[in-house]
Amino acid sequence: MVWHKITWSRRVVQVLSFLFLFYGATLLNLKPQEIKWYSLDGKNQKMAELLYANPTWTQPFQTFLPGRSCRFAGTTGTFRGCLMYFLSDTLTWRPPWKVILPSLALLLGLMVLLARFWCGWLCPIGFLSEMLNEARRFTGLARIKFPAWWLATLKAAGYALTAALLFSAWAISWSFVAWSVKKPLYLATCQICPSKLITPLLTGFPVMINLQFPGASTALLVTLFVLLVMFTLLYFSSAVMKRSWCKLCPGGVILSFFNRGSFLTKEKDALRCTKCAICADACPMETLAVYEEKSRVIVDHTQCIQCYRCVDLCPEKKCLTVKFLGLPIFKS
Amino acid sequence: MHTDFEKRYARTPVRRPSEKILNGMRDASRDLARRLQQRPGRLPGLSVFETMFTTEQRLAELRASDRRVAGTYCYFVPEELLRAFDVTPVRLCSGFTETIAPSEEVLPRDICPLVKSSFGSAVVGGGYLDECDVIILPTSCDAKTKLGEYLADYKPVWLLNLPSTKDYAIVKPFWVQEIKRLKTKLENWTGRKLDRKKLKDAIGLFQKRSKVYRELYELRRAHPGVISHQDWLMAIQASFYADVPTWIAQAENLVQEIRKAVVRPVPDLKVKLLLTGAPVIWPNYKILNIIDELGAAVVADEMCSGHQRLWDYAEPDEWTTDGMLEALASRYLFPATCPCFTGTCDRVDKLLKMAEDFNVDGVIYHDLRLCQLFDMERDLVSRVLKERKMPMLTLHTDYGQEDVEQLKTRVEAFLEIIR
Repeated sequence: MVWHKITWSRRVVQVLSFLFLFYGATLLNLKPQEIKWYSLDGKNQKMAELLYANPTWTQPFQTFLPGRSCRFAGTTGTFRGCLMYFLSDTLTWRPPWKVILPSLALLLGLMVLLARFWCGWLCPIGFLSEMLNEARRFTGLARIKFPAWWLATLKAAGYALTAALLFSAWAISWSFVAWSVKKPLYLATCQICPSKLITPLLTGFPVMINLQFPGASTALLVTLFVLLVMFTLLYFSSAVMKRSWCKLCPGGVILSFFNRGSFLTKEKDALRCTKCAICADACPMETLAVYEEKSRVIVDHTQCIQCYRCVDLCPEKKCLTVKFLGLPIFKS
Repeated sequence: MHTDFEKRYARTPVRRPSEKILNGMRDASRDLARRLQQRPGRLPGLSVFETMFTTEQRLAELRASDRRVAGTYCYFVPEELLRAFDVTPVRLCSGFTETIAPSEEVLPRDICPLVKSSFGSAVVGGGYLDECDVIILPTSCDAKTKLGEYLADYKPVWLLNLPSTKDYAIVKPFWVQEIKRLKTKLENWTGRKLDRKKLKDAIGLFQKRSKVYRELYELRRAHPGVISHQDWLMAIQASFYADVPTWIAQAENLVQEIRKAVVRPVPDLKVKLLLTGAPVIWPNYKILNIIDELGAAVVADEMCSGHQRLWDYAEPDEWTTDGMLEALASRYLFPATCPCFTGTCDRVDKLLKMAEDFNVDGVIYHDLRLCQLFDMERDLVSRVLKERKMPMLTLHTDYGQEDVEQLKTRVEAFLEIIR
């Protein structure tokens, strides 16, 4: 059998990243500030800004990462939260630039540097969904393929969801919006994220799901909960459908805008390609972009999670190359 | 059992067993083998491949073995799948001119010699086709499609419905279904379920075969003169019939021999040519022989009976039964550059790459008479090559020996231009 060294190195990086992001504080004995995720003053029905009480200049491990460095990893995790958490929270509170600048600069830097490499190599939630898939492979059960229309729906839904989440985060800061709406929609991105259920399951961080809350709209709370259940089911379906949640993930959608033009590029030598379609079969995002490209050199596209499975499995020498700032790092 | 061909109206199969024709075929094989042996500095490791054609050892082996034998045609039959069911695949595409005349008693005259010759071996009998328990036939071109109906008079024939385009999104699901249908047929036939482990081993074995071939290819690329193209094709075409592990062992031995031979400098070739077009099949090495005699050398080919057969391998993303069948579906469709598909571009890409790899001086386009598909692809190929200042010569011929002198003159003139 062919030895797939990119896939194996990716697994090692994924395991290390998973351990670091979810259990780093415990393993490395770091003392992160406790995350106050109830930053709303329910009694007075007012927003109480607690999150930015301490600027993050001096706390590198207390900031945000583009991958799912989930806030629900709580006290065992190393980071404060993910990209979507930061964006939603910033849009809601709109703190002074000097407070958010370090986090913003770090996030932007990391996004330009690696783009969706975060999804393929570093995101612990993506890693776990691949492990679910590996478990199924071990049993020999067949994979379920997404039909093209369903893939297109997921892609469109991903954009719509991201826009809706960011808009709601901004809208609840408007003074005329009723508290009954504000309360449930605060950090809606976390309320619907499968990671809200999966991460606490692994880290033991206590999470409460309230379907009723004083003064808050029950309809909205229930809607968000239904979405949470739906997305969690979608997540667990990654056992039979490769990376199912990742095809919708709002964090991934934002990272996807950086895929073209990031420091990492994937290049194809069209003449070396025999059109054998192994790359099309292998793609965990089930895209055909790399396979179908027959003239251009750069084959980065928005859906690519940069896992380089195609590069790994490509049977033609030097047909596909991954470059970091123009330096080849992986070759087929 | 279900068949792909109705029998409401049927023909009585025509059988014309003829020792004379069989002897003629044996002579043709032996003559060619003798000619190949005479090449100075020929590697001794090649003679094992040749016995596949000069002796009837393998045929006797197949007769004696209790394994079932499946005859295949073209590029598109997943041999790994057959192997997983302990069925031995034998590729029946024939290059004998002797069987053409007997085939014409049934077939019309104006169809391609490959199909006529292949069908003729059913009429004459005594060859590999006789040993087949079933024939698996991809519907690549019109002649091959209808050949199935004729062959169904002699043997059970299973069709593989080959699509006309290679558009992944449209064609892949369909072709996977077709491969799975073949799997079901094999299951019913052998009375066994497909064994995941056996399929995995078979795919692994064919990957190994492809790896060995690629090693040979790289060596040949570095030292094109180390082996003649007639020998090269002969070694590849031995795999039509050979037991796969045996072939791999023989090829590995050849790799060692070439490694040893290239320690001393291999004489450089004066004119290097690339062969493309319709399949050149043992013992119809007529055009290669003409080129060799005129002092030029074919160094590479892009034919389904040559390079294409062994280059590609299946690479499953996941080793589940389903995943492996999907990989086989891809392997036996997308890399093919058969002109039965709508586009010519993939073939042009492959040609340009090989021309670059081997630094060739010209391209020979083998156009089998009455194959419209290769004929119609020629225009685009010649235009692209012309743009790139690569001379191309079309040899429009069939299996007969009548036009040898005429071809010689044409090749000679072409070589004059190149030199």
